[in-house]
Amino acid sequence: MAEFPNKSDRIAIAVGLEHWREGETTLSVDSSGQAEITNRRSGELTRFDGFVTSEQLSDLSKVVGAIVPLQRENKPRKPDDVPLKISLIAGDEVTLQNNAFWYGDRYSVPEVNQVIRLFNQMVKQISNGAIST
Amino acid sequence: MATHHEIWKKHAGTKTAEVGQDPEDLLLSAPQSENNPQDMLHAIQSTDKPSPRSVLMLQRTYGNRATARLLTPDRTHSNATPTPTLQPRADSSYLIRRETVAKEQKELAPSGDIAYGWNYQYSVRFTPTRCILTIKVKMTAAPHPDTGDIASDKDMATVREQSASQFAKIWDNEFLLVETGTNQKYSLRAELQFVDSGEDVSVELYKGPGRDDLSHWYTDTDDGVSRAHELGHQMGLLDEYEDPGVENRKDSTASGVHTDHSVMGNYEDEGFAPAEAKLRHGQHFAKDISEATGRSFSAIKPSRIEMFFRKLWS
Repeated sequence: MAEFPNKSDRIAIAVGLEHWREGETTLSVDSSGQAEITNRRSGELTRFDGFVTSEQLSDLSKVVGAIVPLQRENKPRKPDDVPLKISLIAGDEVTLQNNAFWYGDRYSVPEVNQVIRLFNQMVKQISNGAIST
Repeated sequence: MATHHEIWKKHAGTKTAEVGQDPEDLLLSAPQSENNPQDMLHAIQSTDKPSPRSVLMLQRTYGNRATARLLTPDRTHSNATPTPTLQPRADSSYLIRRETVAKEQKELAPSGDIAYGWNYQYSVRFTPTRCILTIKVKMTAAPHPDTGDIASDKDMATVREQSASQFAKIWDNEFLLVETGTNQKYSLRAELQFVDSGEDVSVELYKGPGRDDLSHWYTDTDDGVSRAHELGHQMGLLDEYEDPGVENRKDSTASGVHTDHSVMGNYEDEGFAPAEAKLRHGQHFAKDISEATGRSFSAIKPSRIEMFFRKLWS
């Protein structure tokens, strides 16, 4: 079992927009390593289940812990940028959400890049490459 | 009245086939500093064999009839600086004078804040039959944010070729600009130029898969349609897919959402092959080009057959 930030037992990371390109993909991982991926694309829902390694769990906890306290200057996005939403969940309750950052911030904010890099790796692994990110 | 080709062939002493070049391209191939009609007028009067370019330039500036009179066989050599007695036509711009379209675009969130906002820029130049829209792109290779891989020179060349090809396929020769009052029609030709400096937009290229946007491209992203979409933003166009973060596109019934195979819409789900430019895009260009040039244009989207023949004969 891993220790997640904020005494949560589940981390959820969502990237994308349902009606644009790859759609919105959500990765949800609990502290035992059990993972679920859902992809919502133009009304269609696809789902994959799997496991992540303890090393990946530890990395995930670290990168999410680094980003959740951060805030972003509220300025307009460039076209085709997509949201990045991070949620910490304890039981049925969302204890903390950070929706401040967008995918495009990965090019300028290292903490965002670390989250997205790990997210991409896990989605590819669990969906066996079926979901593009 | 003699056509410009007839004047050119007669006085330049060459056949069109020997020149082997479209007249427009011949004129546009030189830097702007070499296309001053006054200088050409002086030069042309001191030689028996004016160059094809100089004949074309004068014909464009002063008109066929005036140029023919200027080049009649009874003119004599003179070392004295000739006094130009002809005035350029009021509407005859220097062929390669460029006008720049440089504007801001934005979309509002349901809250009223600006959700998306960007600056866009391109240049246009006119010939008697065309408006040539050019976007200059500076593309540099950068390490992929996931893997650190860097695009090779070959990768860069492939992306340049794909991007230019799809950009032309989607945007080139799709619209006619019609000038208010004169009803003169100009084929709107669109081109990409990859440059090392003086760019309208800078792009970082990454080797591998990823999400393209206006400033970041990935080598594995389709065959260039996505870049044609992104460059649509560089021409001021809005996205046309559903986005709950934008008031005008917040659901499928919103006025800014279009599902008609627009290249600015959700072409990945509607189909890459049918993605195309729409008349509303041409109308946007006409408005911007009108503002930039001080002239007044509207846009029409003739049939592909008509545009094909215009391309041949213009």
